[in-house]
This record gives sequence, C-alpha cells and structure tokens, in this order.
Amino acid sequence: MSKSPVAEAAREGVRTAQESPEAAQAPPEGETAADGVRTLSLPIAGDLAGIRRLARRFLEPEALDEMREKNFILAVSEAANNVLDHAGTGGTIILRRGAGRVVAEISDRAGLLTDAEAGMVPPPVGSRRGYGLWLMRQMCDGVEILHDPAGSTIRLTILRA
Amino acid sequence: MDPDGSRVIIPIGDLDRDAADTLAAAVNESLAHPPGRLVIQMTHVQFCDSSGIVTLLDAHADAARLGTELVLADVGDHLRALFQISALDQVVRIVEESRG
Repeated sequence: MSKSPVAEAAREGVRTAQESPEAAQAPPEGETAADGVRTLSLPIAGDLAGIRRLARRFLEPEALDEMREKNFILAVSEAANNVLDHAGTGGTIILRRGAGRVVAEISDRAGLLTDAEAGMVPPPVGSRRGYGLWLMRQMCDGVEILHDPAGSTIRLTILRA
Repeated sequence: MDPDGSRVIIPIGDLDRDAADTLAAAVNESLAHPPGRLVIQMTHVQFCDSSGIVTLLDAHADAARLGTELVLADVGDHLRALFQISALDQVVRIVEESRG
C-alpha cells in the first residue's frame, strides 16, 4: 500500500483549530445588573474561535439545549464574521444572559448593514455568498437589524426553550 | 488511497474563515492525482460556518472539474441541519459510511 502525503495527512488529520491564549484567559463572566441580567462585552478583532469559546462559557449557566446553543454560537460567529468581512473597522459583541433568554448585539461602526429585511430569502443553491444573515435568521428566535449614525447592530435572541 | 480509489481527508477543528485555506490546500493536494472519489470525513469537525460552506462548495467544484466526486462522511446532527438549511446537501453528497 502506497504512503502518499495525502494518506499521511489523513492519518494525522488536517489541523484547523486555533487556540488563542489571550482569549482563553479572558474572564468569562461580565457584569451583573440589579435585575440579574449578566452582560459580557467582547471585541471583534479577528479570532472567531476565541469569541466562540468565550461565548460558550458565558452561556453555560443558561443551560440551553445542545442544538440551541450550537445554533446561537453559529449565529454570533456569523455576525462577527460579517463585521470582519464588510465593516473593516472592527466591532463589539455584547452578550446578555437573563431569565429564559440570551441576547447578542453585534455592532460595527461602519454601518454598512442598512436593510432591515436582509437575509429573509435563502441564497441560491450553490451560491458562494449570502449565507450569513440567512443562517442567523434560521438559527435564532429573533433577529433585528438596527441602523443609526453610530453604525449597525444585529440583535440576535434565543429563548431557552 | 483506499482499494476502491477513494481518498480521505479528516479535518480536525472548526471549519471557519481561518481554516478555509488549510482545507483548500489539503483538497488541492489530494487532487494532484485525482482519485475517483474524495471523502471529507467530518467526524472531528464540531463547527462549520458560511466560510466553511463556501470552502466545501469550491472544493466540490474543483474536484468535479477533474472527474472526482467529493463527498462528506460522518456528518453530525448539527452540521447536517446546517447543510440542509444552506442547501449544501443539494450540491455535495453526504454519505453514511466511515472510512480511513
């Protein structure tokens, strides 16, 4: 049996995970407001894996079922990905964990996202673009697009059950 | 190379924008001598986003041009739902068997 480089790669796997020591050490808990709603603010700098890891840790006490948690993490990651793709100015994610729901607000200062109805229609089969907002809308219980002179915000809401 | 002419790629980790180039390079390497079938075994991929979807679509198209069918194997429940919502599963065949 021949030992091609591909066979070797297959045996060892193609390593794609990123680990960011800085992100891993950041505090998972933010501030707690008087009404018990916890808030965590994360900058969008480029390390999406780090953002997902911190968001997962922040969600843990909310005990979402596995599918809902994965859906929400994907939606947050897609929104941050959009900021990196289009805004060019960085952005911020604010996560809020309260009674029965988790909300993420992903903001950028470029304000390129102005269409409140964006992502309501699926991209054509095989399309190379246009998945982000469509996936967010499919994955979350609520998606709002807000736009003002300070920039654009996508607000994602997922209910606990 | 499997006896039946398949090659297998086993990505490990999250399939996002940071992993797209790595996977594309692995696919291109596998296509240097195009096999009949190229299996991407998704056992160790817990996360895939729109960048991953586009990477898989591009890889599938590159393979098809060379006469290779690219298929996905061992796709978990969440990714299966994602591939349905994104209609990736209407382009790239998802198979049940696990090899490699």
